[in-house]
Parts: sequence; structure tokens; C-alpha cells
Amino acid sequence: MIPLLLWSMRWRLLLVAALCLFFYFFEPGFHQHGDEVGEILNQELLDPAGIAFSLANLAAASMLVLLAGFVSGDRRKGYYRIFFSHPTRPAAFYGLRWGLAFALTMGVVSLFLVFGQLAAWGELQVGPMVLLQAALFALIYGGLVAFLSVLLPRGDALVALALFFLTDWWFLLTGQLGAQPLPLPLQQAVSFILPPHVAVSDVFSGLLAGAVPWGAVAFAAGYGVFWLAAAWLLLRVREWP
Amino acid sequence: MIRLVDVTKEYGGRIARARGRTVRALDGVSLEVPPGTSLGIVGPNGAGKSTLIRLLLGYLRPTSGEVALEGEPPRAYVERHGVAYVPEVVAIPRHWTTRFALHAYAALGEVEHHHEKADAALARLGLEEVANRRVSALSKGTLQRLGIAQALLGNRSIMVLDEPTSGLDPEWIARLRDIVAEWRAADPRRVVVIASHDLDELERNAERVAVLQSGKVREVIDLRASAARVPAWRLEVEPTPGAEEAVRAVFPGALPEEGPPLAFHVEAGDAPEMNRRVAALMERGLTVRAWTPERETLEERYRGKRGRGGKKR
Repeated sequence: MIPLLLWSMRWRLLLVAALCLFFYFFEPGFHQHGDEVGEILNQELLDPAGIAFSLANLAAASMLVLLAGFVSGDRRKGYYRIFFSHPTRPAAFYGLRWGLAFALTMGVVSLFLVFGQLAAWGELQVGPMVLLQAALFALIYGGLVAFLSVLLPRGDALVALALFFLTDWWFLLTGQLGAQPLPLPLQQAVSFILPPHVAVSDVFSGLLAGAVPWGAVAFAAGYGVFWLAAAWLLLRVREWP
Repeated sequence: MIRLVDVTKEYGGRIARARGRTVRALDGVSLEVPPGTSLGIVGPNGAGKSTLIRLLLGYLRPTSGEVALEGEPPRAYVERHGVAYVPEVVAIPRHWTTRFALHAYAALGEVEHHHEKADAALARLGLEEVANRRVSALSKGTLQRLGIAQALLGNRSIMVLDEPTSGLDPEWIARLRDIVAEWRAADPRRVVVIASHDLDELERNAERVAVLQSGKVREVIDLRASAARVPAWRLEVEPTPGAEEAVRAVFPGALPEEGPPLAFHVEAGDAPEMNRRVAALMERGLTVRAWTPERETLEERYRGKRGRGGKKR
């Protein structure tokens, strides 16, 4: 089954490859070439480990591309009728697809880490520790899109993408700019519900400082696992159209 | 094998329920399909046929009552054993090719030697020529054949066909009949459920037919019983002088039928009795052209149009 699923995902993988090029050329993390950017800017703003953010964003984007409509499309178009007349558990079928997407994403991100560094700097300046942030983003957005795909009839990946940008904007507004657009309890609730970008940033800071911040890792991973579990539960409970 | 006990299915969420605006698709349906039998389901649009089939596949859950396949809840049964299912609308990812689709379904169904089985199903349904064609480029009839091919991949005990002849040409309709018969013959315990508007096909493929109307079972017609019961015959004789009087003497109450001259609707009980009376006619010097049992067709039963106050309508 896995080779067939991989084959059916081939066009999505092409899109992920195109995203890799996009991230390479448009993410500043990879453009700390000594010749092109001043040394001061290089060192102060963009430590080589800064590419961890590029990797995390790529991982999230890859999960959205690979999983867009993976349940909702089957429900809406009626593909499930034949799929699940064969001896197959929907949760296992979609779980396998999710696992494949995660594995592919981490594979792509790992290749991107190696070849991106070699292309940018001609050497490997950061190790695999920056993949932790990417794995967390893949889990967070993979979990979110899985839940949305079971819940919504269409547009799951777009909603997840909108949440991504909304989260960045929200934490910029409430964190860096110190604004308080909502009453404090409500603001805290919104911050709690939105994807934990802050926790992932804490993971990044902790790794730079040489220690793994397990609390932040657990919170970020728990967020993704929570939505995955919610997706699984909803998949079991919902009837098929 | 398949059992529905007092099954009711209502559509509508909690809000609809609170407002009393649910739609009752099935209302107290009880049916049983014993091993080795086939059941047809017929009814007008909106009678609940599709709901009934989705309940059998476990895609829907009954609001009340019980649905069981081999004593198990449908979803649990299907996830363990699978069902040979041809949906009303054969929906297959459009970018898949015919061959890829069959290989994918065979792999999904954990069919042993799935490449060989998929290729055999391709050949059985005459799909080799379009094996590498995308699903989006298939005609309706070819797509229907692909839907039938995937249903034949695994070794299943239950077959559920929802409008299986939709889009098929007469040749493939006849072949489908053979395919279903072969599938049943391979294991005498196998059961078939067919929902169709095609009463003629149901009559050929099913032993009993459940007539659904407004979500209820109006009646279950046992086609084997009606086939065994021959209440009347159609008799044709050569138009010789005195023929009509001779027929009326041997078959009191004979009624003239439409069609060729001297064709009659006669009642003579079983076949030996009919043979005796035909022999009596011949002894009177009549030439008998033909005599055939008149059975009430499913269409006549379904539509309730049978009427015989003289000439048949």
C-alpha cells in the first residue's frame, strides 16, 4: 500500500520540491553569504541556526501540501465508499497517509538542511538539532490540518495556513508590540488555542543556549498530538455522507 | 447473514431534532437475508434505498434498531472481511489510471497476489484496452465496469450492488448477470443485495424483492414462490372451424387474449392438469400452437397493474 500511496502523492511532492526552492531563495536564513551580506548583519541578526525557522516553515508548508483535503476530499467526492468497502479501517488508512506525509516532510527537510547549507555556504554549519523545530511544526500543522480535514468539507489546508499567518500576527501584536486587543483572559485563551509558535521559538532559544527545553517541546508536541487525537475521535464518531 | 431489525434512520442534527425537523429516511425496517440468497431492493426515489445500503456498509448508523452482518455491527464486519460493493456513483480519484485503481484497491483490501488478481479483474471486465487510461477519461459504462471489477477483487461473502447496470450497454448487462451468478456459485453461502430501478434485472438476479416506500417496507415479494405458483396459462390454437367452442368446452371460463386470433387465458392448475386438458383438445381435432404459464411479473406486482376483467390491459 505504501508504494501506491507514495505514487499517488507524487504531484504533491513536486509542489513540495518547488516550495524548497522558494524557501531557499526567499528565506533570509540561507543568505548569510559573507560576500553578499555584511559580517555584522550576519552575526547579529542571523546565526546559521536561524535556518531552523526556514526548516520549520518548510515542514509546516509541506504537511499542508501533502495532507490538503486528505480526508475532506475523500468525503466530499465519495472516494471513501469504495475505499472502505474493502477491509480497511479509516483511521488506519488516514493514519498511514499522515505518517507518510510526516516521514516525507522530515526527509525533505533533512535533505533541504544538508543541500541548502552546502549550496549557501559550501559547508555544514549547523547539525541535525535544528530539525527538532521542524519536527514540532510538522506535528503541530499536521495535527491541525488532520482535524480540519475531518471537520470541514473543504479548505482545511487554507484554514490551517490562515491560522499560521494569524498566529504570527497575533504574537507580533500581543508580544513584541505589547498590544492588548482583547480582555486579558480572552487574550490568553486565544494565545493558548492558536498554534504554539512561541513555544517553538523557546525551543529554538533553548537549543541555541545548549539545552533542550523539554517543557516547551512537550507543550508544542502536545498541541499537535491533541489535534491528531481529536481528528481520530471525530473520524470514528462522524457518519459518512 | 444480513439482518435489520426495526431500523429507523433520521437525518438532522440536534437542532433539527429539537425543532422536530428531522427527515425520517427509514422507518421501522426489518429484513433478513439468509446465507445463499439474494435480495432486491426497489422503490421510488427517496424511498430509502441508498440509506439502507449505507447502513449495510456502516457508513451511517441507525437512529434506532439493529443492523448486523454475520452477527456483527456493519462497520466492524466490513473492516474485518470487506464487502463486494458497487456504489450507485462509482467515485474513483480522477487522476488514477484503471490499472492503478485496481492495484490500489487490491492492496487496500489486502488481497493475496494482488497484482495477478487486479490483472484478472481487468480482463474479466474487458478493461485491458483502457488499463492505462485515466479514470477521468473513461466513459460512464467503462467506469461502471471498473466499479464492478474492484468489487470482485477480494474473496467476500456479501455483495452489495447499488444500481449496478447504470450506464452499461445490453451486452454488459447480460455479462454482469453471469458475473453475479458465477460469484454466487463459487460459494453457496454468499449473499447478494441489489438495489435497482430495473425491475427486469431484479427479477433475473434476486430471489426476493423488498419494496420500499416512504422509508417503510411495503412488501417483500418472493419471486421463487410466484414462479412456482402457476395460476393461469396462455393457450394458442389454430383457427379451425369450431375451435373456440372446443376450447371453451375443455377450459370453462377461458378468456380471449390480445394478440393472434384464438389465443386464450385459461386456468388449469398445475402442469400435469394442463397437459391432460391440452390432450383432450387434440383429441377433438384441434391443433395446439403453444401453451405457456402466465406468471405475474415483478413489474406487475410492483405497480399493482394486474387486471383481468376480460382482456388483459
